[in-house]
Amino acid sequence: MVHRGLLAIALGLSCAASAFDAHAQTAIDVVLAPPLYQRSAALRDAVHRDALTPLTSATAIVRGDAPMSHVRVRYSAPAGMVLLLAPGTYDPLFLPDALLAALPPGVPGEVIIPVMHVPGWHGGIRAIGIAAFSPADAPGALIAVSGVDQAPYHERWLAELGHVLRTEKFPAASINFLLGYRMGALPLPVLLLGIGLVIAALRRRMGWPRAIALSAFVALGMYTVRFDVDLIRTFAADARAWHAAGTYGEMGDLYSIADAFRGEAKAVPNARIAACGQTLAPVRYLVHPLPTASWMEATHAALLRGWQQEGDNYICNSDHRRGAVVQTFPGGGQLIRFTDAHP
Amino acid sequence: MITALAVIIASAIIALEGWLLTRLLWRDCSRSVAAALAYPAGLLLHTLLFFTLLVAGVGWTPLGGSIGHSILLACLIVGRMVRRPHLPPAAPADRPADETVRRSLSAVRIPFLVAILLPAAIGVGYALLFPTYYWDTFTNWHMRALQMADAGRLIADGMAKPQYPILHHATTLAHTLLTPWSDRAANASTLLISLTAGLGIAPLLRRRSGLTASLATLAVLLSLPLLSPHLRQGYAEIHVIAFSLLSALLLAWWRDTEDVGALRISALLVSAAAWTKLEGMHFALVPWLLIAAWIAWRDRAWRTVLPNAVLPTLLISAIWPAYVLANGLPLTPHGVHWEWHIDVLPQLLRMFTAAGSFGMHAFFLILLVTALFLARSTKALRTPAFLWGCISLAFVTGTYLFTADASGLETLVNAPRAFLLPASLLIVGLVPTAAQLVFDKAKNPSQ
Repeated sequence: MVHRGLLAIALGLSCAASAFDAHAQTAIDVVLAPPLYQRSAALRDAVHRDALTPLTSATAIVRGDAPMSHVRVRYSAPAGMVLLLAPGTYDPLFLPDALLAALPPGVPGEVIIPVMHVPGWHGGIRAIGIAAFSPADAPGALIAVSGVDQAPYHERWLAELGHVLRTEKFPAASINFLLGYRMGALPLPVLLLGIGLVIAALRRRMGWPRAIALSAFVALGMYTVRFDVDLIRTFAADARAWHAAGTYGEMGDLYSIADAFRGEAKAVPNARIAACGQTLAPVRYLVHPLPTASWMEATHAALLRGWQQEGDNYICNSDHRRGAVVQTFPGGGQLIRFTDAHP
Repeated sequence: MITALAVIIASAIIALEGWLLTRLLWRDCSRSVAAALAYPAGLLLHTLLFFTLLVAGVGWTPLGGSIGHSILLACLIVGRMVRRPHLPPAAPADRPADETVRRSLSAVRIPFLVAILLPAAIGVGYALLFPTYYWDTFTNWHMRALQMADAGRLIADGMAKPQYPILHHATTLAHTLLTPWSDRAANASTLLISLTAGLGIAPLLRRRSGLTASLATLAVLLSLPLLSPHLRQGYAEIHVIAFSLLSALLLAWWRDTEDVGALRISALLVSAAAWTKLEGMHFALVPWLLIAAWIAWRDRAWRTVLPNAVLPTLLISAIWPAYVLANGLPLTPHGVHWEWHIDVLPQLLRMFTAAGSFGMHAFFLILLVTALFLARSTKALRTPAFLWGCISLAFVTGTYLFTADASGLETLVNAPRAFLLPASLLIVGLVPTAAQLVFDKAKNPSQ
């Protein structure tokens, strides 16, 4: 129960995959993994929400002799574990398209996980990377992982068709590239090109030049409609988060934290802020002209992700400082004031 | 509210200067075209003033900026009084070339309008309602502007990539003459470049190709997937594109009408591109010079092109690189390391055909070129925008194939952004003619 609830909270994604029951193993629901910048936090939350226990992890690359539609996992995990799965032989933690599956406690346990729903999966895939995470105080282990090919053809096709519904991942805080849409192995532009050429052939009586140009406009229009749906959806989601909680994508609570620090700085001489879970570049801009500093030299810190707390002891990248919370923000971020003497 | 007022006042002053300058250099320019070009053209003057004040040691202060703008305005007003424009009687240039085109919205134009308004509205929404979000803005664009304003110098300690040109910074700092720095105001100031460029492109295209083709071109341009995140503002690529597209269309206008005023403004705007980003120098100014030189050579028009366009452009654009070199900095923060990287070619093809940054556009442009060849309508392939697009495409591709920048293509860190300029120019070069082929003939098959 707990792991399912945590998964829903951590991800908030609606892409449900079909369960597949075979040979009495537990069938596991999977969801699309969140964007890269949220992944570590989501994993941590999914595994152990209450105590910020470090995770142990293991990575396996499964190579099947035949194309695989499912992965069978035997494991041992007294507190359950979370798996990230992505096609190919890379560490799924760093791939934009991955699936997230929460495994129930089991010593040992065995599950079968459908992998057809990860965008980029197609019938020919023979390798899948798996990263497994479990709490350090109840470490789990992968015992045996194998690929199986058990889905009938219509399920495969439906799964591949469903890939095009995957929302375009607008890059976090850097506009470098867009992933685009695929159906299995087929990029959507190639599919639309094919449709366009069919339209041109059907309309050739208007003359090939006009028919080709018309088909180009039609194909482009179809792609644009698909893309614009995601554009509107992303804008609406961003606007909701900003309006409701003052959070914005990868920056999370940083804007609110910066505002709160400005208020704090009026009362604290020589106030300077550090950050955990975010580099100092955006902090430096947002608090300008107030100064920033390293964790050990700061008077305050913006806590966004990746920090640990033991009583009043705050730990970021193994650096310890004593502190007190000034304010906690809706996205989970905190502004703390260091209470120990800084150098 | 006060900040919004400051942005409006500062932008209005810049636009007024640009309007006066446009009417001064282009005597037969219609009021509507001059109004659309006013803000982009005025920004170059504003940037040169910003540069002068900071180099002179005055700094970017309310008093210095106000006096500078007052002097600029006075000079322009006097210049305009001395050289009164003679207006065309009925502004024929503003009319669609195809007189059969109705002003009403047809079924074809409505989807184009939606395709224009939707990304534009979302871009405006992000720019005005949300704070700055992008890394390059935090570390480079807005941060450098703040550091310049604080230091009162163009190159200050701790500044990242100080050799980048300063039009973007000058634009974002315009409102600080009246109010303190505001993140939203900075983004609104650069958003105006995108908006006014769109408003300028529309009438220039409409005059050449008609209303439907003009709407189709803008729709195809704004449906470039990677352009949408850039409309949120924060990066300078989109402004180099804006200046370049306007400049290319004005170059075409000059070729069509032999109105040297259009050539002068084209030169002015390509200089603005060079003052915006280093890439504006390499992929906008150099292709523009090559095209201008080719036209001058072919039409034996050196006496027109050299004094009205090439020499002023070179002079204005060379100021910043000369300043950078004089301060002992290299022209580019990345360095140039020549290396052969044919191995990134598959990634290049994948980027255009299978990934999402360019969506369907690569196939779309290939289909259009095929259609125009088959229709023996190769006029579009000789437009300045298309030629410029081809040259910049070759330059950008060469950068990734022959230098150490190949890593930027391998990891897609900067390559898709760099290819946005050639893609936009090719769209503006090809789509108007193709749209005429498809949509105008459908209305009137006898044509």
